[in-house]
Amino acid sequence: MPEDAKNTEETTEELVEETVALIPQVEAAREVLEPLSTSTTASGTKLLYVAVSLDQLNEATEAIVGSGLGYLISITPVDLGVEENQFEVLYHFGVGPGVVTIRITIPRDEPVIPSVCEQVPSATYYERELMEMFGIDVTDTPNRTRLYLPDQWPQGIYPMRKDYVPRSERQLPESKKDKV
Amino acid sequence: MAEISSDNGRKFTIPIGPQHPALKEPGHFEFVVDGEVIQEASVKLGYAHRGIEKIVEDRNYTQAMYILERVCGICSHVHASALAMGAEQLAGVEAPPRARAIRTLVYELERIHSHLLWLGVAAHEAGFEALFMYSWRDRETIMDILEEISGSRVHYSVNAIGGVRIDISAESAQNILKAVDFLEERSKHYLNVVSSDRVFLQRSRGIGVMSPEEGNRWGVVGPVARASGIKRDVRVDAPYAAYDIFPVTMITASEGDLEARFTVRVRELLESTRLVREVVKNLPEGELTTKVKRKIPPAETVVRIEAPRGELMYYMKSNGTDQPERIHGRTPTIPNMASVLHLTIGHQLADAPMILAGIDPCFSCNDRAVVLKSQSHSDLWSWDQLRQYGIDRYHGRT
Amino acid sequence: MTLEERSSPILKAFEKAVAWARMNSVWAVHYNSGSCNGCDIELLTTITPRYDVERIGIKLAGSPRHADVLVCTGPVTGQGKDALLRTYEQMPAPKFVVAIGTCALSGGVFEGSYNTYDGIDGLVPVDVYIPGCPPRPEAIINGFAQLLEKVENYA
Ligand code: SF4
Repeated sequence: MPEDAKNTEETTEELVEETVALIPQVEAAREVLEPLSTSTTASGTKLLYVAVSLDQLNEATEAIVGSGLGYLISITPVDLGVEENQFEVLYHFGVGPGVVTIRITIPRDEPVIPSVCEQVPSATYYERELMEMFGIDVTDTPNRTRLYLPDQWPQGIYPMRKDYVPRSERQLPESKKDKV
Repeated sequence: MAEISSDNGRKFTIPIGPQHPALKEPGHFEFVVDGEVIQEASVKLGYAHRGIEKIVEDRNYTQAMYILERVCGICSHVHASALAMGAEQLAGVEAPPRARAIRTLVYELERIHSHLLWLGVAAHEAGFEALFMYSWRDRETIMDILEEISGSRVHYSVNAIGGVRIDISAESAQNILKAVDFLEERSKHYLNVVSSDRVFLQRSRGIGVMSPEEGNRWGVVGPVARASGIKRDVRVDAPYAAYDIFPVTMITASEGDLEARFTVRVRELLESTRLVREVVKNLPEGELTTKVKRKIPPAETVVRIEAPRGELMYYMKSNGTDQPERIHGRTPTIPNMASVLHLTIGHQLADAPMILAGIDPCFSCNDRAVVLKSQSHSDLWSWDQLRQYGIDRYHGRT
Repeated sequence: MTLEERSSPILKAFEKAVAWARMNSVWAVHYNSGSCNGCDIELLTTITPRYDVERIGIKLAGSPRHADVLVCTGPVTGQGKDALLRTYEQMPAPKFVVAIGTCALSGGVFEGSYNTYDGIDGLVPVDVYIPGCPPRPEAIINGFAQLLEKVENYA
């Protein structure tokens, strides 16, 4: 199955790149990001994924937000698993009808990224989520307190990582124990 | 007598919540006040954090859809349909036209219900109980319709992966048209109330003003953005479902104050009633679902939907199995909340609930029968029985 | 107070009067322990004109210190737990608890999550359970009616 799936993915990607032209706004964003990116993939006419190296992140963000091309919708961290030993952090920007996603990859054992709050002040909420759920350290972010997790949640346990075992850290009331 | 002055450097922190007398959802706010004027504002969320993103990682797509539906009880359809549309995109199929039109219809019905609900809650914050009661009474009309077409008042479960689960019969279509006619009348009345009632205007005009520049900086979305003159509506910018066939007129205002947020939402009610009517009259014929394979090949996608509160985004990643690899949502309340806390600074404390309610915050973003052991009551009450119970009780008390 | 005094007819009459008064004006405080809002809007619906629980004397109070009944929705999140307990403790005795919705009963669809306690009955004693996701307003009122019976017989 994985073999198969890989093949289909590759072929569709090639097809997309050859045949479908991006919508103008997304194309403009692609051009702006071109010098900063290490690779780009498109999916359909509206979705563009641009891989950027870690130190270019702020520049790339500024390139989209500063020019008024788009606005930051959200930041999605993805755990690629223990074997891959990597986290992906995706910055989604709404660009006209399309979405341009800046992708950075960081090692799982040393997850540190720079903050984009300089460029987008509301990113602080997404960065706080990143820190508490994945344990990704965001340097220079203005607010480091927890946003969603309870105050009594133990330090150093990050529930959204793939290797987290649910409920390992917390006692349920006696009467509910048998359900776990 | 001890002198109390505002410039002696003593500031007070006033905590509000999480058990909140007015908002139905838990959130904890802290306002630092100097006298009556707010100096700093902060929020602690997470009272409704249920770890949904983790739960869906070990459910299959259909189960995940029902869980996402329960992200929020007010806009359940947008979350469930986001997952359905995302799964369709990942699998490379498209829902049939009739299904997309029915989704659109439910989006708009839901928007009407949500805006009416908000109107009531916001009026309640302003101390305008009569408007609260009226708008919630009218909201029952739309609840009846939603119940008629889907079988449930809150979690409609309209979606299936690859289409929709319900159809609109000719009879329901008639009822829907009747209901929206009534609601259109009422919405016109409300528009009149929120833009001309003098007492109400004192609480809303010129309060919590947000300029378009500020709005852009904070990335605000939905009616809050549109009330500040920012043209941002996913239904117009990037039409999904059947919004390409049934185009929406974007409703904006330029003032950016609370009054504008009221009028924009009420005018959206009118726009939604128009859309509902159009969709019901021109419902395309055909299938309700297309077949989607249970296992979805590895891919990633982004879904954007205009929820009643603004832009909702889901990032979805599949891994070739029948379970999603990662689902991450961004609900409209987050950017709006960030911006609105700044708006409260410099205002009177008494205005804070109104300003907060002005963004329509949603922190969390069917079973019918009650079976309890009792000799004196039947297991399920109808509305008439209920009424009778009230009357009996009233007469019975001595 | 001796046993004799406690069973004196005057005191009994007085207690009866208190029970009667309590049963005719039950004030409830609503706490959302992390529900999806579905149950909360249905609860609010019950105080609006179509359903109107005030006709059976039930009124939503703003503060737990004024309330006889805690109406609780949601599966109890980690962050909401302490606030739930605090709310419960602040209420004057006698206090009753109504759990609304499958979430509050057992955790519902969120059962097994890392941040929920699978329902409120592990944390506070519950008097009336109202199942449903969400229960209809009729069901909620029916649940309240059962509660009133319990309040009436409370001595
Ligand atoms: S029982 Fe259902 S409607 Fe009620 S809070 Fe839970 S998920 Fe929402």
